Amino acid sequence: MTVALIAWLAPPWARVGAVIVAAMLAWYLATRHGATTSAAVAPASSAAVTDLKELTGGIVAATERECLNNQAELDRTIGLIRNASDTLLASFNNMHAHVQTQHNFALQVASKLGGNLEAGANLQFSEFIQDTSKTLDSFVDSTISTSKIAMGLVESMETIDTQVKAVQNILGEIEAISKQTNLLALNAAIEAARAGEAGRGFAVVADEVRSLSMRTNQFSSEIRHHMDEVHGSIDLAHDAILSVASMDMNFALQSKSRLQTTMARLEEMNLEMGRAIEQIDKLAEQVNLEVDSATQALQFQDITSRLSAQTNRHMEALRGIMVGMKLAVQDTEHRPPAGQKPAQSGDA
Amino acid sequence: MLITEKIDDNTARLSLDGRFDFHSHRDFRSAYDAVLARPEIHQIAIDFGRVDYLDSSALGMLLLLREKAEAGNKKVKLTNLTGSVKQVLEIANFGKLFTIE
Repeated sequence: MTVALIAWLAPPWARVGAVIVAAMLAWYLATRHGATTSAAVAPASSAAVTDLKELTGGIVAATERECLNNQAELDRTIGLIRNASDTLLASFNNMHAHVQTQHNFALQVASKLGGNLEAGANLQFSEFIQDTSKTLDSFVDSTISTSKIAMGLVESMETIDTQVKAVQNILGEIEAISKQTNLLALNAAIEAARAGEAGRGFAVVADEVRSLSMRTNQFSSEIRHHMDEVHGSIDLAHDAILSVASMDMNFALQSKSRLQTTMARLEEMNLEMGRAIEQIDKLAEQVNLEVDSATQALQFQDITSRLSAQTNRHMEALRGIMVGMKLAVQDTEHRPPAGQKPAQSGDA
Repeated sequence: MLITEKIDDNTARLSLDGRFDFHSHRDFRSAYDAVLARPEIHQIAIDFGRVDYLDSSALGMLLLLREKAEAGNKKVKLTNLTGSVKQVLEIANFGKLFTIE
């Protein structure tokens, strides 16, 4: 009885053990007591049997209670494990779904930013760079063709300037002739005066010739004046064309190299993006593997269920033994003391 | 810009030295006009070996020279291109219009 009471406070597995030990002890005591009763002390035997019956009854009742309690606790444990593993499974499935969503988002971002991961992705940045490059090319083309036209104009103006110079040279000739004519007219006038009355008509002619030469000189200098103005205007136009035709081409070189740098950086960004996406892909795969192995590990629930069922069966067997023991003890009451044999009791 | 002219058989070589810009137009034109006037010349080679700067007017002058040379059945070749001169001619796509050596 004391052993059973101590065992009551111990943990369940120890309790089962203690109960079994107590049962064995009781069994041993009962058989020994039976033997001594049959051999010598007949009057004391009925009291001993009553004691043994009480002890056995107590042990059997305690063991049965223990078995029932243990079975109930096992059932609760199984229930708890089942709930926990269901919750874990649901969490892992959610985790899997979230990782998948994250992966899809990463892919979307990559394709929107112009990553070259997928064929037919919208390459907005690259298109922009190409457009800019085309714009630069057409700007260079128009700059050069403007320069070409301007240089053509410059050549035409040079030709005009040459003509103006030719005209100015001719004007010099005309001026020289008119000066000469003037001189000749002056000489003629002097000769006419010396001739007296006879030369009067000639003096009038000489005077006319002189005034003609002077008018020629005046026209010539007017033409020279105009030609000088034409020359000045050509010089002005020359300077104006200079500002149109002469463009520093370094702007194009700089723009081109900036474009190339931007293009290279874009390429680099695409590569980095690709690497990041790849990494995310790998991580998602790993998470999937982890989730799979976790799900597999969660099958311990089945194993524990089976083990618990086995333990349950063991408990049932123990209860069976106890019932058998109770019956055996009851049997000893009805049998004659001489006919009792330890081997028979062992069968129960 | 200094221009020196050298004739080899039917090729006239104009070697340019200095900045090739708007201010060179008279010298450049008189140099190529002289060469264009010679019927025995079939090819004009412009040597850029000593040119350190080109502006858009120089490109315009080269295009004008090309037009006039083609009208007289002559070819224009650009030689000794280096550094920024080469880059400018590349950006201007002159490789499609001229023979480049």
